[in-house]
Formats: sequence, C-alpha cells, structure tokens
Amino acid sequence: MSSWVQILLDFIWASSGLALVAFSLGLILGELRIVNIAQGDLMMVGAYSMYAMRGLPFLIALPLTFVVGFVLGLVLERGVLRWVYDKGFMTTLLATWGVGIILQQGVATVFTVSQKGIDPPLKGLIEIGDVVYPEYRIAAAAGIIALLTILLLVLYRTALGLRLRASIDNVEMAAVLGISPQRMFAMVFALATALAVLAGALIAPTIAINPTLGLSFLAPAFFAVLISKPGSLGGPVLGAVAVEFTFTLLQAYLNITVAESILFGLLAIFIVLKPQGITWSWITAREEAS
Amino acid sequence: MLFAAHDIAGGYGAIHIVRNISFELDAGDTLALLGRNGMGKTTLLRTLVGLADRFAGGVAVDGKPLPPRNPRALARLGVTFVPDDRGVFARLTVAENIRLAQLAAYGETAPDVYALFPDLKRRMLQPAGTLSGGQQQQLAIARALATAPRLLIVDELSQGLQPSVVEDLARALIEVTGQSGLALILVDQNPKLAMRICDKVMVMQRGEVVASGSSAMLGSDPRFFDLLIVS
Ligand SMILES: Nc1ncnc2c1ncn2[C@@H]1O[C@H](COP(=O)(O)OP(=O)(O)O)[C@@H](O)[C@H]1O
Ligand SMILES: [Mg+2]
Repeated sequence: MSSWVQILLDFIWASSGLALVAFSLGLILGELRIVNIAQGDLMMVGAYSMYAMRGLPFLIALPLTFVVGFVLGLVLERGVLRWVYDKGFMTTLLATWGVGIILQQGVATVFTVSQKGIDPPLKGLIEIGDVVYPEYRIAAAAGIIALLTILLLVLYRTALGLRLRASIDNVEMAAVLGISPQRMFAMVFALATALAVLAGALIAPTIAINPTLGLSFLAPAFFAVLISKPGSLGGPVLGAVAVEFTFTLLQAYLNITVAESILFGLLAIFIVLKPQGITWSWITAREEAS
Repeated sequence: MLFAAHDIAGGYGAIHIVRNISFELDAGDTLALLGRNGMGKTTLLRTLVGLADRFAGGVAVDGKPLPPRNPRALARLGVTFVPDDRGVFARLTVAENIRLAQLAAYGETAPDVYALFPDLKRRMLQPAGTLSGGQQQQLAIARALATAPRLLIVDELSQGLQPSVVEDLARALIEVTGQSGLALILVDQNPKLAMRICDKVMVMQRGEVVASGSSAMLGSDPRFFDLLIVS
C-alpha cells in the first residue's frame, strides 16, 4: 500500500515536469514545424539560472529565470532560427542541435562541468499514511499543473489563443486574416523557451545540476509529442502522462536501464503503428506550401 | 480607384509565371479571370495578395502602393482571398473560423454570414475539417465576407462542387456584390457561371492577358470561347 502512494506521488511529480517540457516542444513543432533539439539544454539553462541566483529568494529567482528564458528565446528565434525556416527540416534540426551545443559549452565555460546543487525553498516533508514525501515536489507539481491549465485556457478560450491555433493550422490563411507569421513565430518560440527554462528551474532543486542534464529529458518529451496528434497543443501533455505512466509501471518491476530500453522500444513500435501521429509529411508540408 | 495592378510579373522563387498584367477595379466592380488550366490564374491571384513572389510591377489600394509578399498589408486595407483549396482552418470549429475573420474585420458592416449560409449556423461547433467540400467552400466564402472586405478574391469557386451548392454560392456572391459595393475577382473553370456573377472578363494564356472586356460583349464573341476550350 505505502509503496503505491510513493509511486503515485513520484508519477505525478515526474509527469508534471515532463508535461511542461513536452507542451513547449509541441508548441514549437506545431507553429514553427521545427523539432527543437535544444529543448533539454534550455532546461539546463533554467537550472543554472536558479543556481546563479541562489542568493535570491526562490520566488524572485523563478520569475527572473522565466524572463531570462523569454529573452533567450527571442534572441535565438530572431538571431538564428528565422534564417533557416525555409532551408528545410534537416537544417532547422542541425541549427537547434548547434544551439544546444553552444548552450552546453557556454554553461560549462562559465560554471565548469562540476556538479552543482541548489536547496529547495521548501524543505519540509509531508506524511501521507506511512509515506513521507518532499513538500517541494508537491508544491512544484501543483504549480506546473496550474500553469498548464492557464496556458491551455489561454490557447482555447482567448482571441490570442485562437490566432495562434489558426496560425498553426494554416499559416498562409492566417496571414490573409491579418495574423503575422513572423510575430507569431517569435512569440511562440520565446514562450516555449521560457517554459522549458522554467521547467528546468523547477526541477533544479531535485537533481544534480550539470551541463548535459537536458539530454535525459529530451527523448521522453519528444516521444510525448510524437504520440499526440499533429499540431495538438493539449496532446503532448497527455502524451507526457502516458509516457511517464508506462515508465512508472515498468520501473516498479524492472531496474531503470531495462525499464528505459523497454519504454523507448514500446514508443517506437507505437509510433510506427499509429497512422494519425505526427508524420514526416506533416512536418514538411509547410515547406512545400511556402 | 479601389484596386490597381500595373505591369505585374509574378511567380515562385526564380520561376516567372505571369507577366505584363495590368487592370483596375472600382468599388462594386466584378471581374472574372478565365483561362485554361495552367495558364497562370492562381499564380496571378497569389501574386496580387502577396502569397507568391512579385518580380515587377505594383499593386495599389486607394492609390497607395503595397509591399510584395505581405498578405497582412492587404488585409488591413480590406482585401481578402479564398484560395483554390478553400484554406479553412481544419482543426478550428466553424464558429472559430468566422470569429477570426470578425477579429480581423476591415469594415464595420459585414453581412450576416450565418443568414447567408444557414447550413453553417447548424454546424457552428463542428471542426471545419470534417465539413463536406461544399460546406467548406461556404465557410471559406463566409469567412472572407465576415472580414467586411472591400475586395474579395476567389480562386475556383465551383471546382468539385455539386450544381445545387454552386448555385447557392453564386447567389450569395451576386447578392453581396450587388448590395454593398464589394468588388470581386473570381476565377472559375465555368465561364458561363463566372460571367453571370461578374460584369467584366479577363482571359489569360501562358501567363499573359490575351482578351478583356465586358461579360456581355465577350460572351457574344465566338472567338472568346475558343480561348477557353482545351485543345
Ligand atoms: N509552386 C509552384 N512552383 C513552380 N511552378 C508552379 C507552382 N505552382 C504552379 N506552377 C506553374 O505555374 C503555371 C501556372 O499555374 P497556375 O497559376 O496554377 O495556373 P491556373 O491557376 O491558371 O491553372 C503552371 O505551369 C504550373 O505548373
Ligand atoms: Mg488555378
């Protein structure tokens, strides 16, 4: 009994973090038709940003880190990505890969490669039955769930969200209806970057911080996006829950390496068998149109 | 002068498809653009609205020249476009498609598009991608009209649609252009239909305009139909 409460809490914690990253990855893929390989490295930037601001109160460092992420996103979109949109899918993939490497190297240069850590702002433990669980994880998971709810409400209930979904659906016709693709692309990339950075910031107190930490988050987030419908914005969130649920189940019975291998094997099979998932032709369709 | 195109050359990337195209439209003018398949009608429309490349010439609204490849600049001046694939936002509902147009409206008084197309009113909450071809074309036209435009540009109104649906669409266009001073550029494979809706005609061949005049005049000239017959 107690072990199941523990597993459930771990599952909620892990899937909320993954959901935020998958949501941001899905947003970029949907609007810009780019797979952002650097998404995990952006999380890493968020963790280091919190480390750099460890002298400040957590609730002040967190929004500052979000702002850092937003500005970084704007700089990357205006400075790098917009030059490669019409150069084909492979070029954009390489461009974001390069951005990831630069971020890793940059951080390693400034902070060295030695592991860092930060204290959680809440150090207490919550007792549920005979399970004790860190307060911070429960608070952070609740915060992420609230944030995702607000984001989805904005996307599906406001004029701004309507414009964004239209632009994801058909960027040319959105332009005919007065919606600037350039502005949408910049805004979406900046927001998605800020969200990935924020996810890294929230996870930071629970992990060992090093320049390559993003790697382990990228693959599951990518799978969470791939198993959802193309262009869907809520889909990656559900995808993240599904990926983490499967992983949690496997991990309950197997050691972590075996569990991970089986998980990625299962996901690969699922993606091959699932015809309405994101396909190559969907990603590249816009290149032909423009 | 509402809309003027002079000496337009356009195409895609480095490929020049249309050239030497000039015409002018006043409020309420209706122009049918005819020609066989592959003659450059779609390319001309897309060049005009900024979705294809303009290599030479100018487009002006109210005498004000417009930048190339900028559909938003035309939208802001009340020029809107219905592409040959209808271009509905497939994942958005019918109501959301219309709402977007209302958010982007140029004029104050858009026609009541749900009254014009009652079918759409019944399907307001349906994703546009699940509509039939005819319904999607109704939605595309309705969405364009909901922007309260001054100039509506339609590529292939009747293509692939049943005669009864085409008749409804034609009646709607005749009604709105007749009442409101809305100008229209219409491309259609059916010259009789296009000339019933439009007062003026332009015929394209291999990227250039080879005949133009009033629908009444050209419609009674046998050589005119020769230009349109697939040989
Ligand atoms: N995206 C494109 N790139 C290059 N050439 C094109 C493209 N689209 C159409 N064409 C060519 O332009 C010519 C005119 O096509 P189009 O404007 O579609 O004619 P129409 O609408 O009169 O049938 C055709 O020869 C066609 O092959
Ligand atoms: Mg055509």
